[in-house]
Amino acid sequence: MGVYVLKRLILALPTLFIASIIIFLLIHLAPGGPVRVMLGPMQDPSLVAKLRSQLGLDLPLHQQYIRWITKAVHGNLGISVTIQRGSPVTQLLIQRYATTLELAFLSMIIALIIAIPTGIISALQQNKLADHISRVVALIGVSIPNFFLGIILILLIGVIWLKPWGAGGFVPLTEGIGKNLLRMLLPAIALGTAYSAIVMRMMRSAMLNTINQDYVRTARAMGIGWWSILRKDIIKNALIPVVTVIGNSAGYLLGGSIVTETVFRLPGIGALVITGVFRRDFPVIQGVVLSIVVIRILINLSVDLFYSFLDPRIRAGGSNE
Amino acid sequence: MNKELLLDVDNLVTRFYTEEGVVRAVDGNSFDLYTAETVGIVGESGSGKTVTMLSVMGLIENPGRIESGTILYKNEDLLKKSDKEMRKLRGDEIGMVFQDSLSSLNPTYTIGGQISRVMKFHTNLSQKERRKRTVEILDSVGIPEPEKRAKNYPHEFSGGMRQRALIAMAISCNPSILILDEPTTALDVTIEAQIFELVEDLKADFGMGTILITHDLAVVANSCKRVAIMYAGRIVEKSDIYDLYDNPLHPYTRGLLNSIPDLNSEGKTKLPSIPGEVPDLIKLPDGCNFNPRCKYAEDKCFIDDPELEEKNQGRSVACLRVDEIE
Ligand SMILES: Nc1ncnc2c1ncn2[C@@H]1O[C@H](COP(=O)(O)OP(=O)(O)OP(=O)(O)O)[C@@H](O)[C@H]1O
Ligand SMILES: [Mg+2]
Repeated sequence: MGVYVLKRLILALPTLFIASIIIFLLIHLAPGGPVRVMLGPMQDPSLVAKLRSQLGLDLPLHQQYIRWITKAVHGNLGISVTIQRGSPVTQLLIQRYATTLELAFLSMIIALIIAIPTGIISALQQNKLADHISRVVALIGVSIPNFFLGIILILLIGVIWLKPWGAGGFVPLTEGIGKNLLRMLLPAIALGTAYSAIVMRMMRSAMLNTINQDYVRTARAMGIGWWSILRKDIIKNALIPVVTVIGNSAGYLLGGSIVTETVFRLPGIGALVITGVFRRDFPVIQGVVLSIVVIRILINLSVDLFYSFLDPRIRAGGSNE
Repeated sequence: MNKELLLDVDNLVTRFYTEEGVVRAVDGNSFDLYTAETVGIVGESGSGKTVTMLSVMGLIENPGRIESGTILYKNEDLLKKSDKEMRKLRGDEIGMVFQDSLSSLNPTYTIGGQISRVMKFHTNLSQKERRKRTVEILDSVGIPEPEKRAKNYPHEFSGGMRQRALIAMAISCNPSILILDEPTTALDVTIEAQIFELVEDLKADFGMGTILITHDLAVVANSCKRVAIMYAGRIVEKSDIYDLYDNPLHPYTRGLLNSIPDLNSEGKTKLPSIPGEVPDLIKLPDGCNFNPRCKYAEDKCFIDDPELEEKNQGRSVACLRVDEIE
């Protein structure tokens, strides 16, 4: 297993390399160069020169890249130039990620709690009432953009029902888990329900596919009980493709978090990158994008690991044999 | 061992109500099985062999329905039993091994676990006892290093070993009847011979009655005493295997036998050397189902539907011209 993980990590290096070059070059795409963009209309030439050398922008490109990537590998993503002038980007990222990951995690839990049982029931009741209802709801869930659902939720629940608490805004975990969860719940529902629609459809079709497999017929021919067949033959095998989809769409969840954070005014990574873009804080933008790439790679890796845990055919190919 | 009637199927009709039309998969079949014998059911692909056995097992699902007939197992009518009673019977009294061994085993479940689970539902053995028994059964079906192999997953077994594992699963609770649905189609000749040797041993040891479904008449010749030839959902000839070889009565059986070059040769033979194809079971021809491919067919064969009729003791055939053709 250890070898397998190492192998996968090494395989991820080229992806990381190419992504880092693109992210690095981003800064040079801005017309007039990054410093001019950052400083805006007031452009004192000496200040421009000073900032350029401070940021290392006067060196040849490849040297700049090496400097930047070496620091990044050591966890130093530079200094924020406008958002929080002088504070390290890494520190900013850590603060903001706490919120975003909490949101993504809560949404994922909500999505799975809704999607897996509904998908299973829907498949078992194929073409009956329960199936039709959950499919229509899922279709609506997939079609409604989650920022819209977010706004509706804020209006309906937040403003009308929960008025005393206020809907948007954020209470950090440090001020008590109860208060924090109260504020995170609505955004997590907004994001999680939309995501659950995707997972539910996937679970349903995977179940329907598995039910018709020969080994299910074998189990029935051996007089195995219904519950055991459902758990060990149908659900377990149906989960394999679903896990892949969940993993592959974790990017959707991250992207969804960014939108949802904006709607609910949560200080997450989404809010950070948007402010970063508006205020031309290039080190922050680079840091966010790079971290998203790294997280994506880590998510893919953990999906594969979990996958191999579920599916012995992959486990064998990766470690022994 | 005195012979006891295990299974008596009479006039079984099973149909599938699909969107394209009604599939007459089993159309009035009768056959029986005694202890310690092997009955062969032979027919081309799509002739309804598997559906016949699924009907016996009570495994016909929507859109399929058993329309009529009786299936007596030790004098009890299986068609009158509840789902729960049938579930108890399957795997315990009647074991079945399906055709494709890779897809018939759960890929995410160890071989030993799958065998042990069958016993969990039919015996009172503790988990430890079941584990021990699993290893014994794997050993008895000829799996080397059974203790280690029990922990393997299906993909880690060869085709022949998977087939043995399926047999192990089917016999783990000592059933009275073992149904083998084309157990060796995917295997090479040596492994095939080994599998049949194994089945012979089991039959001798436990007095099990075996139904062997196959495409291949040569396979049947080696292991069965009685055979039923199936064509387009119907049994068209029933006979002792020696009589069948000596004097095939139905034109279809003749065609099948002609397609075997030499009974004792090692090479496997495939059936469809009779010109034409099995008819669509949704749109069967008028008259005899075999008439489009029959070189003896004359006018009446396109009008009347032949019934399976007893010729002489133990031999029946469904052909209108059986007395006229040589
Ligand atoms: N679930 C089903 N729904 C509709 N038709 C079915 C179903 N199962 C079987 N059939 C039809 O019943 C007919 C007989 O099928 P069956 O599987 O019994 O053939 P077979 O003799 O076992 O063939 P093979 O040698 O290929 O296994 C086929 O025409 C098949 O299409
Ligand atoms: Mg079949």
